Amino acid sequence: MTSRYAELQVTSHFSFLRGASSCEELFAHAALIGIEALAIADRNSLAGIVRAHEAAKVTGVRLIVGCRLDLVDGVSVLVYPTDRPAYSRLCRLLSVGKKRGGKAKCILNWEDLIDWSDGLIAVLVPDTADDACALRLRRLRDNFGDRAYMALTLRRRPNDQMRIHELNNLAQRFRVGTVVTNDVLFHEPARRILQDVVTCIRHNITIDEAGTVYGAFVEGPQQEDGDCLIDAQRRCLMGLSLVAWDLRGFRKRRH
Amino acid sequence: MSRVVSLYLPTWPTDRLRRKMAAFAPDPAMPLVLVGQTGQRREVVAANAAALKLGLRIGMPATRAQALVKELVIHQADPVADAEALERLAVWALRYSPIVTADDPDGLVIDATGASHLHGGEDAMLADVISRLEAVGITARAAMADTQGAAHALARFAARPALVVPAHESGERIRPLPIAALRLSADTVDDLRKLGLDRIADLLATPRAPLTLRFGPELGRRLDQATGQTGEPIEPVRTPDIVEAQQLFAEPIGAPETIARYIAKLTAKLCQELEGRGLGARRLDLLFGLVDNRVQAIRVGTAQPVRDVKQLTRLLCDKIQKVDPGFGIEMMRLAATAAEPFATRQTISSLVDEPEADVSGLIDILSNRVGETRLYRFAPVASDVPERSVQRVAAAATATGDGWPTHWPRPARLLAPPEAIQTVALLPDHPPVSFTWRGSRRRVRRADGPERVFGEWWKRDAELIAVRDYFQVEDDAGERFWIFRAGDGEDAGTGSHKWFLHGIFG
Repeated sequence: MTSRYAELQVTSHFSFLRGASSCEELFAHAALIGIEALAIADRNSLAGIVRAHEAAKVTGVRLIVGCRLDLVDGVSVLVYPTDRPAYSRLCRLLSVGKKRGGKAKCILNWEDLIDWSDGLIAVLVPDTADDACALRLRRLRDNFGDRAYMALTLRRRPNDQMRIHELNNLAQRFRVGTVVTNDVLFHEPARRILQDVVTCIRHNITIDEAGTVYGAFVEGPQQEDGDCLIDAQRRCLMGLSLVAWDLRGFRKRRH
Repeated sequence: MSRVVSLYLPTWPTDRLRRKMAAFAPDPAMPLVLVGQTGQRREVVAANAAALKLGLRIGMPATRAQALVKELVIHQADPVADAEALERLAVWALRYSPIVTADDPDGLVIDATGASHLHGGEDAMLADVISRLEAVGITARAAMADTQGAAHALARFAARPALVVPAHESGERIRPLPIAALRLSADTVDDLRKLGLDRIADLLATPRAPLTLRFGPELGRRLDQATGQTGEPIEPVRTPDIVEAQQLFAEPIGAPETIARYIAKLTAKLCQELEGRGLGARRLDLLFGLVDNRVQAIRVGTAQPVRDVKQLTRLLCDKIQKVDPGFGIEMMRLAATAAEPFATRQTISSLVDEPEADVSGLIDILSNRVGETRLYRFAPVASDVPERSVQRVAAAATATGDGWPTHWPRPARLLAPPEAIQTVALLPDHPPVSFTWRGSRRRVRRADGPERVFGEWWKRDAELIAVRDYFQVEDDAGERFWIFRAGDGEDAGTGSHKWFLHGIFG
C-alpha cells in the first residue's frame, strides 16, 4: 500500500523574497512524485491561488486553498477556508490587514483572525514547545474548537526529534490534532541557489557574508504518514473551481 | 657626464596583480585586463601580454574587450596600490645606486653615474636588473643614456629589452624616435602630429620660437631635457629610517652575563630613540659582529608596538643561548627593523575601573619561545559547514565581533579530515544502529538527528547539491560522537552515502 500524502504548507514565489518556485513548477513536481494535493499557503496573500488553480487543472493534483497569516504578535497560523463564504471572509480579513499596513505590509491581530474565523481551519506553526506556544495553542483551541490543528515540521536541526515529541505531547494535552507539513519553499534541490539569493536580498546582505543567517529547513515534498492530516485535508476547500464559477457569475451580474 | 638608467615596466599593473594573487593568479597565457572607471564608462586601463596579443588595447571599453575575447580574466584596477608598489620597487633598486626614483606610472629612474662598475659594467648592470625582475615575474625594459629624458625615450621605444647608449651619443640616438617618447601630454603629441611632425628629429629641425608660442614652454623644456641642454635633478626615494643603536668593544666579549648587560644598555638607548620619534618596536634584530668577521643574529617580534626597556630586554635575553660567541664579539648592533607609531596612554584610575589585563607581554614571550606561527587563537566564522566555522587568527588580533554559536551543541574536538566509519543504518533518516571506528565496533544507544548541512555553492561549484546529515550518537560506554552521512539518503547526487566520524564530544 502506498502512503497518501498531501503537503499543507507550500510557499510559492508569490510570497515575495521567500518562495523560489512558481505554482506551475510546484504542481508539476508534485504530480511527478505522486503527491495527492498541495496547499498553496503564501504569506498574508492569496495572490498565488489563481495560478495554482490553473496548474492544478493541468496536472490533476488537487489544490487546497490556504494562506499563512503572520500576526503582529509573532504567531504564524496557516488557515484553510472550508467553503466559499469562508474564502470570502479570508479575503476580507486580508483586506483589513493590508489596508491597515499600507504598501507591502499586512498588520493583523489575533482579534482580527477571530472576527473572520468562521469556516476557517487553523493550523498553528509552532517553534519550540514552550509556555508561549502552549498559550497560543490553548487560545487557538478555545476559538477554533475542532478546527484547530498544530503543524509538525522536521527542521533537520539538532534536537529535532525531541522538539517534535514535546510539541506532540503539548498538542495531546490540549486535545488538538497535529498535521505533518514540510514548509516547502522550492520544488527541486537545484532551486536552492535562487532561494539562498532571495533570502540574502531579504536580509540585505551578500551571499558571502550570509553564513548562518538563513535558517533554511527546506525540503522537497516527501512521504509521511498522518491520519489527522488526511482528516484535516478532507475538510478543506478543494480547489478554486467552486469559487471561480461564482466569480464568473458575479462579473456577469455587474455588467 | 651623468649616466641615467630608465627602467620601463610595460605591464606593471598586471604583473603586480599576479604577484599579489600568488598561487591564485591566472595562468600567464590567459588574457588578463584591469578595468577602471573613466567618467561614466568602464574601460581597460592595463592588459597583459596575452591580452595585447589578442588585439585588446588600453582605453578600450571593458564591454567590448569582453565581447572580443571569450575567456577574458577581468580585475579591478588599483592605481594607488600600483604607485605604492612602485615606490617599494624603487627602494629595492637602491641596491644599484643611491639615487633612484619611481617614474610614475610605469617605470623607475636610476642615476647610475659612477655606480655601474660595481655591478660589472653598464651592460651587465642592465642585464642584472632585467633578469632579477624577470625572475619574480615582472617584465622590464631598460635603457642607459646621458639624460633622464633620453633614457626614458629609449627604454620605451628602442630597448629590446636592454640598450646602452655610449656616452655623448644619446642626442643622436633619440632623433629617429617618435615625439610621443618626449613625455609630453597626449594633446600636445596629437597637435604636433597634425602639423606633420612625427619624429624628434623633425622637432629639432623646426624653429623653437613658434613652437613655444603655440604649445607653451613645456615642449622646449622636455626637448632640452632629452638632449641634455638643461639638467633634470632626480629626487631620490628615501628608505624608511631604521632606528638602531650600536656598541663597539675594544676587548671582545663572550660571557652571557656580559652580553645581557650590553643588551640592556642597547635597549635603553634604542627605546630613548624610539620615544623621541613616537614609535614602538614590532621587530628587533640584534646583530653580533664576531672577531672572525662572522655575523650572528637574533630576532624577536612583538604583537603590539612596545617601548618598554624591561620587556624588550627580557625578550632578547631569552635568546642569548642561541648565540655562539666563538672567539669573541666585537660589535653589537640593535635595530628596530619594524616600528609602528605608539602613543602614550593615560592609565585608568583604579578608583574608577580596573585596568584591562594586558597579555601582549605574555604573547610576546611565548611566541618568541615556540615560534610565531605556533601561537594562535581561534575565531568563529559564520558558516554552517563545521570545518569552515573556525579560523586561526594571530594571538593578539582584535576580536571580529562574531560570537561563538551557542544555540546548538557542537563537539569540542573536530577531526580533520573526517574519518571513514562502517555503519549499519537504515535510509533515509535513521541514525546507525552500530558503527566501527578505528577497528572497534560500538553499539549506538541513543542518537539525535539528522541535522542537515548544505554545501556552500557560492564557495565551490562542486557543493551545489552536496548535503551532509549529522547525527549525535552515544555508545554503550556513554561516549558521544558526531557522525555524518555524505548525502541525503535518497538522491545519490547529493553525496556518496558513506559515513564519517567528524567530532568527539566531551
